[in-house]
Amino acid sequence: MNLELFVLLLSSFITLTLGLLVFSRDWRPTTNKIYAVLSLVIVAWMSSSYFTDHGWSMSSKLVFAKMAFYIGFFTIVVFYSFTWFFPSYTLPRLITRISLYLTILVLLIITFSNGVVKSITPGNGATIVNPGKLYWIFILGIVYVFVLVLVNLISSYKREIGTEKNRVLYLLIGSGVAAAWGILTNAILPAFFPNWHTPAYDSFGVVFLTAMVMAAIIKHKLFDIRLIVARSIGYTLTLSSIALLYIAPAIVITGHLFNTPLKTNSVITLIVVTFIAAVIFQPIRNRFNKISSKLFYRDFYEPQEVLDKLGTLLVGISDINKIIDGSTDILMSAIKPQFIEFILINDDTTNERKDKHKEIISKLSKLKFNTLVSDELQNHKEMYDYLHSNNIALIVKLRTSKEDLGYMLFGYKQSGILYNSNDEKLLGIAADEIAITLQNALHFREIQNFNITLQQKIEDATHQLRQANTKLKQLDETKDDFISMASHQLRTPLSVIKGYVKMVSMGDAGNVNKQQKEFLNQALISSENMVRLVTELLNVSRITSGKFTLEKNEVNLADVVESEITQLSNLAEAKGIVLRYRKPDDFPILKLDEEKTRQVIANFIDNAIHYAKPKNAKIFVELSSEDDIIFKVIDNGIGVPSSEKQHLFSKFYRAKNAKEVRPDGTGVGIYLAKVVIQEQGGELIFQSKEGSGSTFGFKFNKKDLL
Amino acid sequence: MDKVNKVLIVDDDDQISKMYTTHLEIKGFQTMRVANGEDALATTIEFKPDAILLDVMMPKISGFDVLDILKNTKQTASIPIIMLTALSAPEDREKALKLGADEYLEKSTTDLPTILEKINKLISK
Repeated sequence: MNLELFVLLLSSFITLTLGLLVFSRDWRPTTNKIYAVLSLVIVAWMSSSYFTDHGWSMSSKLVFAKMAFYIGFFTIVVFYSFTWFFPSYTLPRLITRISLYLTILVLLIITFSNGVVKSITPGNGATIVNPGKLYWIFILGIVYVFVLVLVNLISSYKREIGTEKNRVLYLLIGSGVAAAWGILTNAILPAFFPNWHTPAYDSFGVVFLTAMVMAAIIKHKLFDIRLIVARSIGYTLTLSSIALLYIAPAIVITGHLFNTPLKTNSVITLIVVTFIAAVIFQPIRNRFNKISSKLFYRDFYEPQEVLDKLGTLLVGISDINKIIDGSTDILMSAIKPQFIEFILINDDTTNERKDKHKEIISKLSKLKFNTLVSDELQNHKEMYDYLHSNNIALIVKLRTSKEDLGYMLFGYKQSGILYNSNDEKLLGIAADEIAITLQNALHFREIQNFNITLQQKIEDATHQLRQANTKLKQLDETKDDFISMASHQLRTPLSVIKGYVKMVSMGDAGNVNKQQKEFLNQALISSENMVRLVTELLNVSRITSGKFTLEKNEVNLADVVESEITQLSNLAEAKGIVLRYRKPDDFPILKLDEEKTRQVIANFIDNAIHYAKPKNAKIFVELSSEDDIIFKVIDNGIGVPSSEKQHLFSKFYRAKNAKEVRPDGTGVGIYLAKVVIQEQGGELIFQSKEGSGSTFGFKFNKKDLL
Repeated sequence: MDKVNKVLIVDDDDQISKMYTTHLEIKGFQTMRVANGEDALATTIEFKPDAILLDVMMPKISGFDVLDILKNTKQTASIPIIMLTALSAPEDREKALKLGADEYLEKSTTDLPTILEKINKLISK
C-alpha cells in the first residue's frame, strides 16, 4: 500500500458513497442520475491518474495517461450538463450545445492521437507526461467548458431566490475551490516544485466539489455555510482526536510490548479504519437500538413518532368525534391498551360513558392529578375497586389552563406490562395536546350552535315581521273597506235629504216664499257639499285599493266651469268675494271623465273661496284652448308657505295656515285633483306666495283629448 | 183626462223609495213600491207599470238579476227600466246597459227633477 493508492481508495470511496447516498434517496430526478454518473466518471478519472503511474506496462501507462487527461476534461462536461438540470431546467442555446459537442469531439480526437500527450517517460516512482503540440488546444477546451459552467452557475445564482440560490451557491463554491485547487496543483506548484506530481492530488479538489454537489442536492432547507464549516471542523477534530488517542497508544504499546514498530502501511490502515469506525458508530448504534428494542421490548414505541402523528392529526380537525377517534387510533397502535375511552364533562358526545362512570367522575373531579395509575390507589379503596372491576388501568386528565375537559380511561396493556413513567409522560403530553384541540372544537361547536340559534331567531323575527306586515295590510284593507262602506251608507240618507229639500223648495209641498226658498237652497247647497265630500273620501279609498277608474265622456269644460261657478257664486257672494270668469267661445269638446274633472274644478274654486283673505278678495277663473287646454283659478288669498309646497298634494295633507282658517278641511281635495289630472295625462298648475295668493289649475295637451 | 202613468219602484231602502213615491205622486203618477226582487216580477205583471225604477244593490236577488228576468219575460220586456245605484262603479253601468237597462243613474248625484225628466222621456217613447 502506498500513499497514492490510499488516497485513490479513500477518494473513490467517499465519491462513490456520496453518489450512492444521493442516488438511493431518490433515483428518479435527472439531476440525481447525472450526479451518479459524475461520481463514476470521477472515480474513473482518479483511477486513470493512478494507473498512469502504476500501470503494468509503458504502453498501458500511456493509454491511461491519455485517458486521465480526457476523462478529466469529460468530468467538467458532465458537471456542466448537471448544471443544465440544477436547480432548475435551463437548456443552453443550441449554438452553445453544438460548440460543446464539437469541443468534445475535437478533444477526443487530439487526445487519443498523440496531439496532447506525446509520450511518457518514467520518472521517480511516477510517470512524467510530455505534452504534445496540441496540448494548448486541450487546455483551451477545458477552460472553455469551465467558463460555460461558471456562466451558467452565475446566471442561475442571479435568477434563483431563497433556497435555490443557496444550492447554486454550494455549486459555485465547489467549482471555485476545485478550479483553484486545479490551478494550484497544475500550474503554480509545479512551477515551484519541478517534481511535483500532479494527477494524484487533483482529486482532492474534485472530491470537495462532489461533496458540495451532494450537499446542494440533499439540503433542502436554508443552511448557513458557516454552520457546515463549523460542524465539519468539529466533526473532523472529534475524529482526529479519537484516532490520535487510539493510534498513539497503539503505536507506543506495540512498539514497547512487541518490539516491532508498526509499519507506515499499518499505521495508515489503522488511521483509516479508526476514522471509518468513528464515523459509522452513531448511525449503527441507533439502528441496533431500534432493532433490539423491537425484539425485546414488546411494547416498544417511539414517543416522538407518536407525538408527531398526533400533532399532524390534531392540526387539521375541528370535529369532536374525529378528534376522539383519531387520537384513540394513534394511541392504541402505539401503546396497545385493551381499550381507550374518552369522557368529556361538558359535552354530550360521550354521554353513554359518562352515565356508566357517573359515580366515579364526581370523585375524580375532587382529586388533583394529571395521570392516575389505578394500581397506585391502594389508599382509596372504593376507587381502587371500581377501577379494577372495570379494568381501568390508567386515567389521564384532559385539561387546559382554564378548565378540566374530561378524562381518558386506559385499559391494561395487551402485553400485560404495567404503565411506566415514560408512558405516563407521553400520555400527559398527548393529553394536553388533545385537550387544547378538544377545547377549540367545543368552542367551535358553540359558535356553530350560536350561529344556528341566531339564524333561527332571525327566521322567527322575519316570520313575525311578515305576519305583522300581513296584519297591517289587512288593516289597511279593512280601513279602506270601512271608508268605502261608510261613504256608501252616508250617501243614501244624503240623497233623501236632498230630495225632500228640493221638493219643498220646488213647491211640491205648498207654496214657498222667496225667503223660504232661499233658506232651503242653502240647505241644498250644504247637503250637496256633503255628498261631494263623501264622494271624495270614497274616491280616495278607491285610489288606495286600486279600484279607481276614469271614464271618457265627451265634455264641454266651458259649460262645466260655468255651472260650477253658478253653483258656488252664492257662497262667494255671501263672503263678499268677487268671482270673475269669462267663458271662452268655441271651446272644443274633450274626452274627459266629466264627473271627476268637474269635482277638480269645483274643488279649486271652492278652495279659493275658503282661503280668501277677509278684505278685498278677488278670484279669477280662466279657461283657454289656444295652445294647450288650460284651466286656472287665481286668487289673492292666504297662499301656501314654501316649506309646505312639496307636501301640499299628498293625501290628507293640510298646510298650517289653511288649518287655522278652515279647521274642518279634509286635505283630500287637491290630492284627488292631482290623481285625476295626472291619470288623464295632464299636468298640475300650481304657484303660490304666502300672504299674496295662489294659482291652482291644470293643463292638458290638446291632441290628447280631442 | 190624461192617462195616469204608473211607476213601480223597486228598492230595499225604505227612505229612498218613500221619497221617490212622494215626489212622483205629487207630480201625478201612480206608484207602487216593492222592497225586494222576488216581489218585483209578480208585482210588475199585476200592476203593469209604465216605467220601473230599479235599485242595483238588493239582498238575495240583485237588481241585475231582476233586470235580466224582466227583460227576458215577454210580458214585461217592453217596460222601460231605469236603474238606480248608490255606488259609482262604471263597470256596473256597462253591465246594466248590456242587460237592457234603458237608463243608469246614480242616486246621490241625480236630483229628483232629472229622474222625473228621464221617466217622462222613456214613457213618451
